[in-house]
Amino acid sequence: MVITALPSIASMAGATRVLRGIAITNPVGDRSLTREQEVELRRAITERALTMLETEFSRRSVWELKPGEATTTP
Amino acid sequence: MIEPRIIAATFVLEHVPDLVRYGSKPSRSEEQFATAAGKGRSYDDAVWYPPNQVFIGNLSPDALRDLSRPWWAHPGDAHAVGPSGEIMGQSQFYELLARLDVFELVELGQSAAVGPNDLPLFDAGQQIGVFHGAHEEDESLSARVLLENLACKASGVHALDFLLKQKRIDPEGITYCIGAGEEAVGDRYQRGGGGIGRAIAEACGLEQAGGADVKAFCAGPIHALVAAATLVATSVHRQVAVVAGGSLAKLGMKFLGALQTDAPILEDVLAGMAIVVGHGAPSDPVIRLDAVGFTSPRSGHSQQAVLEELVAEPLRRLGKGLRDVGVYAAELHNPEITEAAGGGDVPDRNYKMLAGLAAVNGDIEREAMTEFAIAHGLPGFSPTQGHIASAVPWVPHALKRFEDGTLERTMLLAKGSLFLGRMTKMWDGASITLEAKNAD
Repeated sequence: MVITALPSIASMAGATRVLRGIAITNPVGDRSLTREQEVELRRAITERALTMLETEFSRRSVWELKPGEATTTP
Repeated sequence: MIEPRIIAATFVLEHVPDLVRYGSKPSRSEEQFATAAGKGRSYDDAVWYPPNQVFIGNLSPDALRDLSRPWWAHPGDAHAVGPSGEIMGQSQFYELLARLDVFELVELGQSAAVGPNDLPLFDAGQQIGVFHGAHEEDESLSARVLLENLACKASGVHALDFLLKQKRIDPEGITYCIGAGEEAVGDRYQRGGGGIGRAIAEACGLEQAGGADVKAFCAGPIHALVAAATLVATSVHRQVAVVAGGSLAKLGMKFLGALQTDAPILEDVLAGMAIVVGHGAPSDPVIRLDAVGFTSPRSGHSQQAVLEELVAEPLRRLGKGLRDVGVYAAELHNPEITEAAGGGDVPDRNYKMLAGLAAVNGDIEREAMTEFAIAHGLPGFSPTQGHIASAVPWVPHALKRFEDGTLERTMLLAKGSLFLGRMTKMWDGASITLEAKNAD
């Protein structure tokens, strides 16, 4: 399970479960947010990552943070 | 024909003091470089350094004019993230190198063994990993060359990723990516074959993008912008990215100068750039394809003739004179680095020559030359990263000025030292003019 701002690289390296992070220098944070908003974002990313760990995948998948934006790559 | 516009530009820095030893000059001057221990800068010192703050957009270039020299002696409160870029620290950069490496070149960890074809990687004096060469005999695939190339890819990826996130640009909407850096990627049978633009695009998720590299020494980014603007204007592509990573070979290039003074080694950063050309919004500046400047063999080796071809002649096509350009961006090397090594103030010299051209062509009076050089010029603020220092770091600042309505026309001009490659003695050069929608 990889959280990264560069999901195509993680997929290429063989990771099955990839969650798109925010940016290279801060994959699970966003400095433009307030402290409270950022805590909320971190929680959302972590929970999303846990959901991915509980999910069976038959092929490499890249997920976005919001469930509605989920995409799967071959 | 579509009017091509610059819609976003980012410039980033990677603070890599422990990679300075692998710069060309330090690695050739090992004994002298050993005496430079203690001349390195901390990450915080690199962040607040005023020219670096200008580079990432937290300060305007003009702010440097009001700041007494040396600039490195002005510690202040500063952020590592700016509106058009950010400064990454060394350990994070090593992680990025490892993540972008798809050929098991980078091995992080203190237990990694250094083989005869490898280079040790250090962080704060400790060995933290190894960079492996990919071939015993092929110099193009040696650890030194591949480290240069991967560092170039990584800094380019950092810049493009920052741009996509900051400006909320859909990576799949960019369908062509031009690499404009100076690194020669390839093996011994096709040294300099290219592909770095493609590699950067792939890593940044530009799933729809083709691309190629444009090589033109320091003028590479300007030639690449001309190509990008042409592809957009002719509807071949809707959005094109021009990207370039930093030059590891140039780290510590002038460190001998720093040894003579109290100054720290300021060439401890790699730079990366990304610029997107597309249809854009009406407030984005247009690249005037009817006023592109190139040098030709007829200007020979004369600097004055080169400037005539790059500046005066394209402006004549627009029916304009030299005073009609608000700001000229030429080579923007930080004078604090070049002066210590005896190279003088490169931007200042360029603007004096430009003012000379304006006087010769009758655009201004001879007495107004100094005033012209300041009013239409910029102080140097870019690290000495070759192609990156050439005019383009002005672009994010220009975009802001166009948005504010305080800039109507600006010209970017870059020169390339073709003679360094020993194939011709010519100078190369290229220029583009950006204009606001309602420019007179």
